[in-house]
Amino acid sequence: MIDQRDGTASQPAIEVGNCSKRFVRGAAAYGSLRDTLSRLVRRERAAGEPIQALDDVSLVVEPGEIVGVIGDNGAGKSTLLKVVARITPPDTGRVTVRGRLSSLIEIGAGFHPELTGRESVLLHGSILGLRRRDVRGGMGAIAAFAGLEGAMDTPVKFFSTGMYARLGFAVAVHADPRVLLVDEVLSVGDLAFREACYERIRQLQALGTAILFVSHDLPAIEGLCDRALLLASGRVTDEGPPNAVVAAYRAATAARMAKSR
Amino acid sequence: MSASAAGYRASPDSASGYVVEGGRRDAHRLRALWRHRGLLWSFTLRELQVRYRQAALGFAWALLQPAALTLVTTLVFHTFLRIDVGGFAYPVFVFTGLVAWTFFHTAVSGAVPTLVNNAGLVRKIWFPREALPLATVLAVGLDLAAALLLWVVLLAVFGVGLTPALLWTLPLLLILVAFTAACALLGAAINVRFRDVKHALPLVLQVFFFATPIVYPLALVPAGWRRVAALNPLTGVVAGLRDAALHARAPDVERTLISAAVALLLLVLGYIVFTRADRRFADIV
Repeated sequence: MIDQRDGTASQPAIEVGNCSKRFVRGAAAYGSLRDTLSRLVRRERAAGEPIQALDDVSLVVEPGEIVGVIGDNGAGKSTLLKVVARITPPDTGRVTVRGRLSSLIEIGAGFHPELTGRESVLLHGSILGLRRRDVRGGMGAIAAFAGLEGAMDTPVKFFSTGMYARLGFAVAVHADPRVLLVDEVLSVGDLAFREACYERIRQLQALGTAILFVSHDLPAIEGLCDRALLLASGRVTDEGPPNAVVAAYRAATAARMAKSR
Repeated sequence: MSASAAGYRASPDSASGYVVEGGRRDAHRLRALWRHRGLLWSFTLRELQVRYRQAALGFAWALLQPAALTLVTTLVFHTFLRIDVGGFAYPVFVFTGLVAWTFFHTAVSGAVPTLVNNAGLVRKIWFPREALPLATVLAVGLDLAAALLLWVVLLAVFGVGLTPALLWTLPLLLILVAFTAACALLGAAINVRFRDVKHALPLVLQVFFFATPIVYPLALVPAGWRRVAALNPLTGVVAGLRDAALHARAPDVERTLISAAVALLLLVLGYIVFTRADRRFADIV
C-alpha cells in the first residue's frame, strides 16, 4: 500500500524477527546493595524463576494494516508491544519500525500533577519527538478531540481518570503516526470517546498507518482488525483472519476450562 | 480528513523509525538525544514550572541557600575559628566557593532520583532517558546564573575589583557543568539498580563538601594532600574561581587541566554506564 501522506513505497511498517525475551521474576529485579553483595560472597545466582515472555515471535505489519493481538493474561501481549515500542529490548531477535511510532497507552498523571492540560500535551508531544511549535499548532484539534476545550489551563491533578486518558489518546492519535500501538486502554473512556477513537484509528489506517491492537474485547478485534495473532506463553500459536483466530482462542479456552472442571 | 486537517504535520526529522536488536547497544544514542533536544527543553521547563508553582518564595530559594550557608560558615570559620583566607573578606571568599557547590549539590541530589520518580513514564513510553537527569542539571543552571549575578554584586560591594581575569570563570563553569552532569548520569543510573544510593548520597555529598576547599583555602591543605585534592574537579573549579575573582590572575594551569580531564573522563564514563544500564531501566525501575 502507498502511504496517502507522502506516497512512500510500501515496506513493512513493523517487522519483528524471531524475538525472545525472558524476565526473572522475584527479588532479583532490583534490590539493595547488601543483597547483591551477599549473593556475590555466597556465589549464588539471582533468585527467581525465569519467565519466557516472548518465545521466538515473528510478525510483519504492513502500512494500512490493523493487526490484533489476543491471548490470556501473561501470554506476552504487553511485552510484545513494549519490545516494538523499544521500551525494553528483546534478548535475541530484531525489531524494525519504519516511521514515527505513537502509543495509545494510559500514562495517568505520569507527566506531573501540577502541570496544566496544555503543558502536559506539550510534554507528551516532545516525548513523541514532535516539535513544540508543531504541537502548539495542533493544540486546538487535540483539545477538541479530547472534549477538554475548557480545561486546558487546569492542572491535571483536577482531571478525572477518563479526562486524563482522553487527553493522552488525543495527543497520540494526532501525532501523525506511521505506527500506532493500542494496548487495552480504550475501556477507560466513555462510549462516545471510544467510538471517536475507533473512528480515528480507521482514518489513520486509511492514511497508511500500521496499527498493532491488543485487546480482550474480542468483538472489537473481529470488527476492526485485518488480521489477528494468538499468543500463548510467549509463542504465536495462531495467526490469520480475525474471526478464525478469535474462534480458535474461544475453543482453546473452552477446552482448557472443561479439562480443569 | 487529511492528516493536516486532523492536527499538524510532524517535522520529518523525528519520524524516521528505528531498529532494535537483541543483545546490542543502540549505536545512535547521541543522535537520538539531539533529535529529542526539544524534550530536554520540555523536561527542563516542567521542572521550573513545577518548582515555582509550589514554593511560596519561588525563585528566592535559589539565592537563599548559598546566602544562608555564607552566613553560617562566616560565623563558624571566620568569627569563631579565625581561619586565614589570605586577607580577603570571608563572606566573599566563601561565597565564591558556595556558588559552585550549591549548583553541584542541588543538581546532583535532584537528578539522582529522576528515573525512579518518573517510573510511570519510563515503563510506558520510549524517550532518551538521559534527558531526565540532564534536564534537572539544566533547570538548576538557572539558579546558578542567579547566584553568579549575586556573586558579581558581592565582589563589587566588598571592594574586590572586577578585572578581565573574571572571564576565566567561563571555562571553569564548563568544567563544573561537565562534572555535575557526569555525577547526575552515574547517580541516576545506579539509583535504579541499587536504591541504597538514596541513603548514601547525602553522606557522599557531605564528604565532598569538606573535601573541597570551600570553607578553607587550598593553601591550608598540606602539599601531599593537595595532589589527592586535585583529583576532585570541584577543587580546581573553586580554587580557579578564587584565582580569577579574588587574585585577578589566571587559574593554575596544571590544576585546572587535571580538573578538566577528570571531569571529561567521568562524563564519558557516566554516559556509557547510563546508556548500558538504560536497556534494563523499564524492566526494573
